[in-house]
Amino acid sequence: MLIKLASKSLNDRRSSVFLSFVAMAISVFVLMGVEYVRGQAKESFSNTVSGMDLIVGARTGQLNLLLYSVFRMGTPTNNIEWNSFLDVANNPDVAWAVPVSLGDSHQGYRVLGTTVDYFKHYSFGQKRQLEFREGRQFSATLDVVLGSEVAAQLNYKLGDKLVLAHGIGSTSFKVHEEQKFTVTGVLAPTGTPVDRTVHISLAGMEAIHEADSTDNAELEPDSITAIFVGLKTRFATFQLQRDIGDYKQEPLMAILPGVALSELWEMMSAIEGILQLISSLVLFAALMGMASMMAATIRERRNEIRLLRIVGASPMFLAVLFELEALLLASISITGGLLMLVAGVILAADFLSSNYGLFLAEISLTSQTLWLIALIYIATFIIAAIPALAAYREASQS
Amino acid sequence: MAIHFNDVSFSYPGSSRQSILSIPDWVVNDGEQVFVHGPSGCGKSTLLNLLSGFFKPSTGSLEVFGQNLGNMSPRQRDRFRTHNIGYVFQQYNLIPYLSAIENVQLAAYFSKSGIGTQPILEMLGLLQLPATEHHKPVRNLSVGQQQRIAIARALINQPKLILADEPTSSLDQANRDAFISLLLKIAQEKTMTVIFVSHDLSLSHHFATAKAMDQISRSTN
Repeated sequence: MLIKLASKSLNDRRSSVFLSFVAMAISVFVLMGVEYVRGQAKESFSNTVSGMDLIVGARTGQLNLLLYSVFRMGTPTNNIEWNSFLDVANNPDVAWAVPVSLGDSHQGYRVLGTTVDYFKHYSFGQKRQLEFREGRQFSATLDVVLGSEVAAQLNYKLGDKLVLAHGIGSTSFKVHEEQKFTVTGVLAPTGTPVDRTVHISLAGMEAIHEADSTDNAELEPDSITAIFVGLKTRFATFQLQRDIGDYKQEPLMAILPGVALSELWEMMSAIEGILQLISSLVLFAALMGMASMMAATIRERRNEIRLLRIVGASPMFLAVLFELEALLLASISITGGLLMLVAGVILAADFLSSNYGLFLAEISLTSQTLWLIALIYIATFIIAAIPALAAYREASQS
Repeated sequence: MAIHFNDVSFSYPGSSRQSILSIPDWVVNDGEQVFVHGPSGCGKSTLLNLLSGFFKPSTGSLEVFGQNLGNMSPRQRDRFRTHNIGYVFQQYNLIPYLSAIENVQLAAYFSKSGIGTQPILEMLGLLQLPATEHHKPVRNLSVGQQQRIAIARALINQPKLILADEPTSSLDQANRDAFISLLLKIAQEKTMTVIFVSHDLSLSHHFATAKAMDQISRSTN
């Protein structure tokens, strides 16, 4: 009877209730949306590398090394010698070592020089390997393999010729017009920076920089940017990390990608916290709006309250009725907000994956979401106590 | 005896003004139907609020069916009202967005009497509400129909005392007489005591007992 009364009463005042519903649904949408994007971003981050035990580079901060080697952000402070790579690769504990050389750009997409081992060993997500959507890995010096987003955005197909320039911006002062690369492969989407990378061989990288280059795969680099390393056994990780740190020929450092990623994530948590704070404040504002809407109706519901009292409702019943109306409204709003989020994700998924290579997973009711829903109910309950108390007082006086 | 006022006075708590109501001695017998009239502001509503237990006498003793309302806690008075008193207001007797049946059910719900749908349908039939109107929100019904549903709502818990506060002022002459006859007839059948309050002296011919407010109370304002 209580629930029936509460829902019919809400339905009866639907025009004023509707505005509260919209405000609350939007706030739920914002709150859940922030939480969802946060989870997705974190997942996207931690999915960027997998199965890689160490990243070796010139001595710098571990975040810096992670950012430029894996995320292709910023510029390497220093390169490392090719000989250092050979030493690392020949270490008995090392299962595989992939050299990467970063520097140039093509229409805003970073060019990465590497070896064919890259396609074999680089993995992401749950140890997923790179796959070719079309074509194959590079074999000649002037072959190029494109990340999925590069191919899609710049509309390149297999066999297309492209010019790789020196520098990072889309417009470079110094364009090496003579170096025409041929697209031999396009990778399948990964949701990682690989999608935004133009892959060429190390020889190709040298060819860009050396004027007298020819189609000659024998070109050997003097230096590279970083080395991705996989170990035979994980137990060797720290030993090798120390050994590399003590390398005599040049100052090197080795980082554990997982540790560096979590440090990166920690830096983001400040922003995360601010976003959560803002979305909680939005919810708070919506709840206060609801509370004031309900408190305002007490005056016009005075007769109703008196009638309920005369047929036997206690003041407590009226307080509970008001609470219940608020919680019902919260339920509808949570449903509305979640539907908005689902619709939003479906609409935005295409845009985000094609423009930012950000892949949104389907929304699922995680324990985190359930916690948020519980928190919204608790907040509603507490704030609705204001009008509920006013109704209680009104009922005691009638 | 149904009602016994003994030296009852009432003034709003905290107000230093003299008492609004002062009833030295007034007795209403079981099954009696009393018409109380007087101009507005003479304390009629206060009288009903005392009888229904919303207000507590400031002094003296007020017994209704042998129970002293002045000694009860607010919760006890709530329970007493639910089980013993049927109340019909001048207006807003029903929750407008509920149907006739739901409104009567609501009253039955609070008495925890476990009254099913059947007695409610019988009651609505007794009050000549067509079955086609049973499930419409009562705000869509005529005022006359609404007041009849109000009787059903007030009577469903078989109260021993019916308090009616100007219930006919929104009705036209024909409806007014029909309403009062119906109310009094059912009350008589079920031997319910009725206190009917109105400023309209022309209604007094329906009742065996008619009292002016100033006969009952020697209030001075």
